[in-house]
Amino acid sequence: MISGLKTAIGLEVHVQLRTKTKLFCGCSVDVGAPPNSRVCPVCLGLPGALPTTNEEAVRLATRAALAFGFCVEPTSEFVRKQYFYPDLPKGYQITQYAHPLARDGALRLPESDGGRRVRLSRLQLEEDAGKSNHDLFAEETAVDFNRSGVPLIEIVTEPEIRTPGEARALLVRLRQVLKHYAGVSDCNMEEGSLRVDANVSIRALADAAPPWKVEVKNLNSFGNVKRALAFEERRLSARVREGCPPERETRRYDASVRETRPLRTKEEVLDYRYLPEPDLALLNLSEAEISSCGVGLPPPIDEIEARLVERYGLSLYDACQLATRPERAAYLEAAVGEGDGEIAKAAANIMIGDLAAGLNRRGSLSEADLLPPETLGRLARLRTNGTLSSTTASRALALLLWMEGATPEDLDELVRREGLAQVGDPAELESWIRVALSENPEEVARSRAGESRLLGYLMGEVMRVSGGRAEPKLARRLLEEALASPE
Amino acid sequence: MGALRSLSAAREMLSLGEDAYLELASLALHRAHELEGGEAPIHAFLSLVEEPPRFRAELSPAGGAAASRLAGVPIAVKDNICTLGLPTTCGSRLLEGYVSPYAATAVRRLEESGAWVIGKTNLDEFGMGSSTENSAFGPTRNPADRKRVPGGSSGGSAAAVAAGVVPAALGSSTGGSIRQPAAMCGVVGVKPTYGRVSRYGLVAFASSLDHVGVFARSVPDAAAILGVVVGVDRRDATSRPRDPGPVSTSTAGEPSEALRGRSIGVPAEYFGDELDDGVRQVAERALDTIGEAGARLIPVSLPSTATALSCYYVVAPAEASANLARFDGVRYGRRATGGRTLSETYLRSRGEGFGDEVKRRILLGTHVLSARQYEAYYLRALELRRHVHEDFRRAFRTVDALFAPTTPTVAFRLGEKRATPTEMYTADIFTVAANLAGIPAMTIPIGNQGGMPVGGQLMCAAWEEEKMLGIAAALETCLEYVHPLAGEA
Repeated sequence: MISGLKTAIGLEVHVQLRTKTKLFCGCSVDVGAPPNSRVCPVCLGLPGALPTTNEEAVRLATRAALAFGFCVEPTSEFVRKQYFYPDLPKGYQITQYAHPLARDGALRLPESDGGRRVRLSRLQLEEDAGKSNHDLFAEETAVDFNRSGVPLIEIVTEPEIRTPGEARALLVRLRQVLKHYAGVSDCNMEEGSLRVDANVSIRALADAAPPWKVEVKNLNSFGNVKRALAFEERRLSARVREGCPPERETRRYDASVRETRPLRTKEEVLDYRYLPEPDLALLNLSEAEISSCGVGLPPPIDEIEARLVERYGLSLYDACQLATRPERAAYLEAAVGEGDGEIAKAAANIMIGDLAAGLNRRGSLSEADLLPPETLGRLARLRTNGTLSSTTASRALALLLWMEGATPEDLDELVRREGLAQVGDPAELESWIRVALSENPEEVARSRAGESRLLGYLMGEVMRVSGGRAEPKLARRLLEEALASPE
Repeated sequence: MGALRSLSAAREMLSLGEDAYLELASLALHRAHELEGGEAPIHAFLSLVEEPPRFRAELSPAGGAAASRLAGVPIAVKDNICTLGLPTTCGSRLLEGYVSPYAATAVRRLEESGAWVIGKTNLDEFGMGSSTENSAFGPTRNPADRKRVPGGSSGGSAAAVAAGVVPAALGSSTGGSIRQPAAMCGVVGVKPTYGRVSRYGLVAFASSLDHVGVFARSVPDAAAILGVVVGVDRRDATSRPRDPGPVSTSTAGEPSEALRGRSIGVPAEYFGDELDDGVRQVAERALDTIGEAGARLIPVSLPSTATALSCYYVVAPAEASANLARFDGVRYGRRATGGRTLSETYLRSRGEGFGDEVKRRILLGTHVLSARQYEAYYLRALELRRHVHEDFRRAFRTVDALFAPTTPTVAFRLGEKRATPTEMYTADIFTVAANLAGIPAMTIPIGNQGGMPVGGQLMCAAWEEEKMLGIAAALETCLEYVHPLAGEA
């Protein structure tokens, strides 16, 4: 927010559903296939061809709607949205308008971004257009219709988002739900299976909502959404302050210069001449059909986060990190079991830190595949009861991941075999301290001369010499004593 | 040539085997070429096959299998219905030379029954017209009087059947484009219930009003063809699974008995001032015949008749404006050269490709769907359409069928109505209501007036084709209609 002015942002998100075939024909969805190799009379808009609805797409769209708590309408309607463009083969897009598939959903922003609930006004099912390529030939435009007819859902938020940062956070969360909770889409922005348009308006706090808004298109990453909105926020605020209210227009974000550029102004606002699609019957869904689409849906993401916070006392930040996928939260709960908050925090730290990094390196998404949850639970317990230091716990985890599927007993054996347990025996600690001091005579002298900040460095040296096994509290006390006593 | 005028005669001849098949095929093709020549050519066809398909013994009628019901029978197909091999132009410059990569479901079903497509018939461009004068490739003439139009938009199909090129043809109807030309050419034309015959492969004019239907010389022939093309199609979401099964006209005993005890409604609105006196007389004589055959004639009222045509001229152009948007010259069809911008290329391609009537209707449809006009026109038209439905529903609670003249006049002269589109539109005044309501309707020739055929229309409740065809067959038997061309070679 810029002082004295209030920003209102709304998002329109297009998401490609994970179906085998297109929305209104049997062509396979394979947008990367050779150009125009996944086409038929229907998705090419040939004369006489007619659409028939892909039930799997309806099912996935309904599932997505349920994941956001939308009310799924028992009857919705397809319409023709008319405009001319070479990659729109019928001269109209089959979409929904007056009667969308679902209304009145909501998504809560992450607590780290304020936790506010943003209303989602509608979710509709529609077909994608083809893809124009203006760069392939010097004088001509090439059109690939592989994408034509691919099923999309469009989710529209109310203009309740207040900052570009919130917009980004909401999108991250929207993607988590679609991809990992509902499982209806890959949500891959680079491949175009998730696309975002945003609209912005700015007003003085006292005013009612302004009669205009600016729409920004071509936002091809969440980072660009934030940057484009921040740019518009500045541009529009300046205009409002100068007393020349911006006009209603559509702009396009140019990532190379990080600016938006005008695309269409008010005078060119298109009249889409919506027409109920006469080739398709109304889309009727019984209560049983609707509820069957929600079978196996996990609880909403914010409920899972709240549970992690309440049950284990995790920080909101950690809870958000763990709820990105419902399986992660379930994995943590399986690992910790009846354990206390200390163990849960230790397990969460391992998951967010070393375990996530280990999964990343292996290109794997599933913690449970690499490490049974009980083993993580044991590891967290050993960490909290002081048997393992953070260094030896990391080393143990690295070895466990290498073993794949290691049991808690394997972990115990590992700790014994590798001698990973922390050492609190003063005699052994003192011998490590002697080695560390003898290897750093200069630092020792400076420390003794009063340069107290070198204590940390020397403590690190002790830990290094001990192979991470020195019990840190006692080691520190003994190190201080050694430095305090004369040579 | 009887075998080109009757399915049963054709089947009898075809049962003789390959030689008979080849003879019939060459006769049909010869006759078709004949119509294209001379001083005032009938010009029923826009394209013709060069030679008939290879004889398929396995389909021979001698086999008697259901799949061979139409073995060897030549059929003409309106040129807005997609076929493999022959072009599908819709009578438009824009689609000149366009060959569809797939065949319409109705065509496929005919071919699977052994029939073969002899050629594609002329039509008003995209089905928009009532005289076949709006074809970009020249008008079709009425075989009964070559100075007159054959009606439209399926004028080519009607003329091809009337002139004895083929025993049957496929046509399409959006507001009357089967019944009106059938009546004007003196043949049988059937528009089935909406959803009974798949529209897949029929180039859309107004999707909620478009129907595929048939032309034949007799009611049993029309029923036989219809029986082959009906049925739910998974490619057409508006084709209904509620299909009562095969169409037949078989009745116990004399066909004329089908009229006995039936109640036939006579809608007052179809006998108003628009009706030509000569046509009225023929229609009233047919009513007498119906009564004499033992049916009860019941006066009914369909108050929505007066507004049905206006309703039609909002709904049909609205849908047409969307359906014809795909003809942009990008993927197929005519693309104008010389456009400097995308928008100029669109404007030129469509400007050069479409004829005046098509442009008129696209503009009309675009206007009524624009945000400011939507309520005033489109939503009001939908309301009127509900009244039409309701009127028929009420009528069919008390009567088995409705009988009325098919057209207000006999076929008019070429050029007579071209200058005044709204007068041309009234040629469909008695036929649009059945399209708006989606009910089955048909015409049979009921007499001649001044040497020109007059058609009588029967309408029934949705899915009651069988009842309608039974009544029509009975009436046909009673009337013993003689076509003006009968007796000519």
